[in-house]
Amino acid sequence: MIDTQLDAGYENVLRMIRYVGEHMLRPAGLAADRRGTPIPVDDPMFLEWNQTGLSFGAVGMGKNSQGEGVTRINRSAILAAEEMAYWDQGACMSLPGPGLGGPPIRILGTESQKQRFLIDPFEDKTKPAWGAYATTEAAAGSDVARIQTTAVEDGDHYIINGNKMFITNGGRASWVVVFATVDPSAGRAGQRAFVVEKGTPGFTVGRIEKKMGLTASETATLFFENCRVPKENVLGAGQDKSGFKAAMATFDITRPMVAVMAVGIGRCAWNRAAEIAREAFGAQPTSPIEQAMLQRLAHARQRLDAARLLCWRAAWKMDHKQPNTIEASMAKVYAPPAALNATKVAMDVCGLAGVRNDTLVEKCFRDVKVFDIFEGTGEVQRIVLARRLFGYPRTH
Amino acid sequence: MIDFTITEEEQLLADTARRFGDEHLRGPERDHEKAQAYPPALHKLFGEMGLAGLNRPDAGMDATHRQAVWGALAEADPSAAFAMDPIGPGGALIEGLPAGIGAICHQEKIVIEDGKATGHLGWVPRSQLDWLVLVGAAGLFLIEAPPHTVLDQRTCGLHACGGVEVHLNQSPVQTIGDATQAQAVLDECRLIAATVMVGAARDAHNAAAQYAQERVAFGKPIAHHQGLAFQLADAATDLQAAQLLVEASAGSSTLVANAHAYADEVAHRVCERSVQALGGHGYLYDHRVEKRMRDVRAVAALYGGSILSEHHAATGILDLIDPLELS
Repeated sequence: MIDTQLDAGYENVLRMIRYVGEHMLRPAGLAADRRGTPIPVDDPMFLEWNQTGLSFGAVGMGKNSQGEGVTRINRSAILAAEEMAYWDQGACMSLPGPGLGGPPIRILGTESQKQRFLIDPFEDKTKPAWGAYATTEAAAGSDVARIQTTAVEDGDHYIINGNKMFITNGGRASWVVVFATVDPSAGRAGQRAFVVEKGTPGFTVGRIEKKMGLTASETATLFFENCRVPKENVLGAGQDKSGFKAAMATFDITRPMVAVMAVGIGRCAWNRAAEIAREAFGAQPTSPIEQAMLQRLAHARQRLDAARLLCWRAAWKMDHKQPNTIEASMAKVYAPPAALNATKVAMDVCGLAGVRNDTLVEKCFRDVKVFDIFEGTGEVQRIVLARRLFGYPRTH
Repeated sequence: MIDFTITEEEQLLADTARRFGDEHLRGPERDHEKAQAYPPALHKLFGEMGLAGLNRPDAGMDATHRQAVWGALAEADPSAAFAMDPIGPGGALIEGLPAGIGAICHQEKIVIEDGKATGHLGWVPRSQLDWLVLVGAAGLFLIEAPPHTVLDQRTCGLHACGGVEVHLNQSPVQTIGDATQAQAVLDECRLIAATVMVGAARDAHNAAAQYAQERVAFGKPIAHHQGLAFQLADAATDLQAAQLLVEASAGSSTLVANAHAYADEVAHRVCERSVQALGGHGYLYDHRVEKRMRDVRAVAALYGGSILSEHHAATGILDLIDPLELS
């Protein structure tokens, strides 16, 4: 029997996030959207965030805790992720912390590397710091095996050459986990992860992208030109492929998280539309148009509720140490279109005013589309599912 | 507590029902369909496996137990979920029902005035009716020995249930429940119908997925062509979404109505795509997918149908409280 009641522990997580969301994330996200540029590095919000003592790594990304019994951490994280996205996902992604660069260091890094990259840069709470994760290239998105960035061994260094694209917080990060190939003919097996620190000669930040939504979050292009990275910055050195596989397994954690963020944005738009409908005609519609609006809202809600349950189930399985690759991909393939539909319906309910840039639902509509693209597109999720369920081949 | 654990009891009941379905329903499914009935020996066997009387109030089962059984049974033959029990869905919530074979139906357009009912039900999935309970907005109404005739034509699906039409002309009714009880019964009926539709569609999907991995076209299994592979992946996802939505909806009539409407939408789409996956073979009686597609349409018409569910969901949608909205 499914139990979807939230106990006091979960409610406390939500209350904490709600306060941060209402007072910090929503105002900062709206301001950035109207300005058209990411939240600046010196925005006081980042200091305030640091003072809360919260860490996005803890509340936002979940954990694949090994060797423990049943935990609640992924369920808590998934609730927090939805609630933060409800208030503003762009602002949430801009928050200081290791970001997506955290999991590979946690999984593949040595104790010394964890100290240098996950602890030291973030100790001084008066100086916000960021980490970043760089895999995607202009010609290699979903097909990670095609990345062209190379790493050539040179004494006690590697020399990295290539470009990376769509890198969240890439322009402000103290370090970036960069995936490059040491053997282009070996595909994924030839790839290694390097931590490239800010200021390393040959590492430069290109343009900050202008995007349809999630404006508060910085998305950068990075260039590596004969960039010499010391060998002590290689992650998983000396490990076999299982280390890399473990890093890839973080998708089983992150995909339901990303999916539920879309649900949060969809819920934000849906709630606003429901509020407008209540003000306009209450629960008793008198015209066929009002009845049609309620039916659209009911349809949208149906899919949002189902999407959330798929995400929760994937997190619940992870908490129970059960394989969840299929559930994670199902959540990721289902939730973003469901959320996009909710934002579209919300705009429809708002009518002409819903199109204006200063309405929340319009911003939600632009923000949510990318969730069907990043962290593995919907098409990639379908390939994952088809491989797991129907023997779809790995190569054609 | 966010928890998706299946209890031992639920698993045991589902496994038992699935075993019964696999051993006794799948093979002769077309024979039962043709006969428009299950043989008495099968009913007896169903009882011997401890599954009879599930829809009785004193069966000691809760709604999740009933869903586990009827959902699993629907995979092997959706008709069985309605015909193997003399009371039918909804009965577990009504005390003091008469003996014999009965049915619980939505009131539809039947007019009840001064203790008399007048109107017509075009199809009830039973071969005989000793009693009938109408579920209406005002309450629950019992009609004993309702006038009915065996249908002189076949229906779209659920043939093994048989089929009668009911003609009421000033037929005496007893009020056996108020509006609140009627809503609870309607919720239970919708949940079981939704569970059956999802179970039937899951079976159609499994058949299509198996076929698609065996059937070769243009040098490889058709499941390895992306056009079909993606459709199959979407079907698996939609079925899981519908299943979770149905299971999580108990306790809120608006959520139940919304889940029922969604289960119909998903089950129909998955069944239709399953027939399509088999190509011309899918259209033949040789394969079960065409039957699942027809059966789901018939189930969807019960208990007021999914349009009424959509209407009820829309009516209550603005009053729903999201689980993440804290007090």
